[in-house]
Amino acid sequence: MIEAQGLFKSFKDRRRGDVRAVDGVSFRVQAGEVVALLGPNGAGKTTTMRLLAGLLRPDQGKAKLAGRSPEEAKALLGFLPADSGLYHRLTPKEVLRIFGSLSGIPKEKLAKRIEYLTERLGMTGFADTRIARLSTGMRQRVAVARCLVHDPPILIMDEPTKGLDVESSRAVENFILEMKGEGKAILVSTHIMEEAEFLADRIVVITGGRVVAEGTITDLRAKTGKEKLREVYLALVGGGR
Amino acid sequence: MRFRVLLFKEIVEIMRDRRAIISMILVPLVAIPVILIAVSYFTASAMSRIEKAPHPVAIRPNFPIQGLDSLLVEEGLSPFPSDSPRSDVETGKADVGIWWERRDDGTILATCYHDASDESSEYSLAKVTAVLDSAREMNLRDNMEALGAPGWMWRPLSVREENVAPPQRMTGYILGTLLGYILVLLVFTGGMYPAMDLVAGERERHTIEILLSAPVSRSVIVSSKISAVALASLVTGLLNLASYGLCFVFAGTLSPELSELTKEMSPNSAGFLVLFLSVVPLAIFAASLEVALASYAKSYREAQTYLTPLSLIVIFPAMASMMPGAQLTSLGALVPIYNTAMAIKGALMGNLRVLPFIISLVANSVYAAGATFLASRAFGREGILKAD
Repeated sequence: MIEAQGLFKSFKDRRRGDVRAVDGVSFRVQAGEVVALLGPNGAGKTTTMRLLAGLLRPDQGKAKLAGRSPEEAKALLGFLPADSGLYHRLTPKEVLRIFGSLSGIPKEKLAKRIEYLTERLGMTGFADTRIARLSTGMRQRVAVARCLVHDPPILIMDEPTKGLDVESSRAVENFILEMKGEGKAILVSTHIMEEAEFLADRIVVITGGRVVAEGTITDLRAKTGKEKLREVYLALVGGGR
Repeated sequence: MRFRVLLFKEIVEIMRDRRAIISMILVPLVAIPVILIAVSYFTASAMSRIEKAPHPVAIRPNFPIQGLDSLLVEEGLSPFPSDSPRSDVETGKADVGIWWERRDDGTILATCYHDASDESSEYSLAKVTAVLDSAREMNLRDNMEALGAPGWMWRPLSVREENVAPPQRMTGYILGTLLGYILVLLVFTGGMYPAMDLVAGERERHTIEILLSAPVSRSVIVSSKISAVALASLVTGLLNLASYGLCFVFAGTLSPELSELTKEMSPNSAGFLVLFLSVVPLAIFAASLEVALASYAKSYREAQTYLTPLSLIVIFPAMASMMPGAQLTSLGALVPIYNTAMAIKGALMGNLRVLPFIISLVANSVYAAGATFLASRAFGREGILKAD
């Protein structure tokens, strides 16, 4: 469902000249699978996700969603950016209505979907409150609902638990697993090894724009010869530098 | 459908932005009427106070022309004899002091002392000089009649002024000169806050990513933003127009001169139709330009730096339309901003020629399309994802 085929992306920087953010990244995510893109800050996770979401064009390589280019497959994708930008002057219901309508969902079906997501994500108490007045946890739930409103088969979520407390993080993680159970292909980025272990069927470790390891948590433990998750992560990330 | 959804979103965002509401609705509907009515009221009451107050005029005794005192009294002034009219004005005892002296050739020189820093003194001076002119005329007439000279000999020419401009043209002249200029400026400034908020603000608040990842083309996103900004510009322009109009009518009730003027005015519906036709492409042009500029800004503050000079630049072509005697020509119709201000002026005065007007509409539509293309390109850059 999600396919990165030898993606390259460079940016021009006034001080550093040409900076290669993504350097030949390849991996796949199947339907009903959660893959975690794991790496430190600045590893190229966000750029990779933006390439897959069609927000950036690769210099080389191909990004494919359900066999199509990201531009063609936008309706199939639920994209959650890292900073979880939301319209503070709108209410959660308005945001869901607008993004659902942009995806072309018929009015009645959209109303039911909004009702389902509002209940399922515990947003009933604040669904008609302007987002500016909501807490970080509430906003993140709205952001997750926003990317799911059109019930897409593909989800790309950039640090979906960023800034959340343990309880809210676990609620979002459980929901992601539920989505996996519905057969969705899910790519999640994180720099927290425990989160990757809890969520992902497979982990793609990325650093310096390159994939340095890929496999299940068992594979990665075997590869590094380390038992503790933090040690596994440091061994993989340090080795890539 | 998607355009409508996005336009709705942009309009809701504008309507819930305190800054936009202040500049778009509160300023024209509350601030301008309050300020203009207060200024008109205080001006009118100050004038009435001056008119009702006593206006003493100190005159050196035995003024050689008879009847001066009664002429002054007829004008609401209070003459009194004084040996020192100048010091009477300096000490505030009199508004105006008249000192006269007979010169060697037998003529009389009257010196009027006044205090140019005192409104009451200036009010009285205008009346005193008019009275002295009348006194001179009366004296001349008496002397000539005594000599038996016929009127045509000593007063061969009389001048009478008559305004042949119909009320519609007078309305157009008064409104058109100011309205074109004001409306063009308002259309540009009215879209600035919404453009900054809907484009640079969207980048600053990191909402641009979710918008661009939605299944909708960038051209639709840009068109909806331009339409919302153009709508805000039009609303600002038209609300200000209505506000100024109502204030003008209200001010007319406070001042007799303005009251006469407003009675003479007749609304020119064709002129207002042309005004609307001219303003729409200008609003789209302004909105596209503002959206394009704002899309290069990573934050609201940076957008202010880019857009503020624009409001200064548009002042010059708009001001050119206020030059007396200027008329819209085919060449002038190609100059953006100036052409709209001139079309509005010509339409309201009733002397707008069809060809230059059509050229101005076509030119503005082309500029609007060009600016929309620029805005789409600016929005299509990958750099649009970066924010401060």
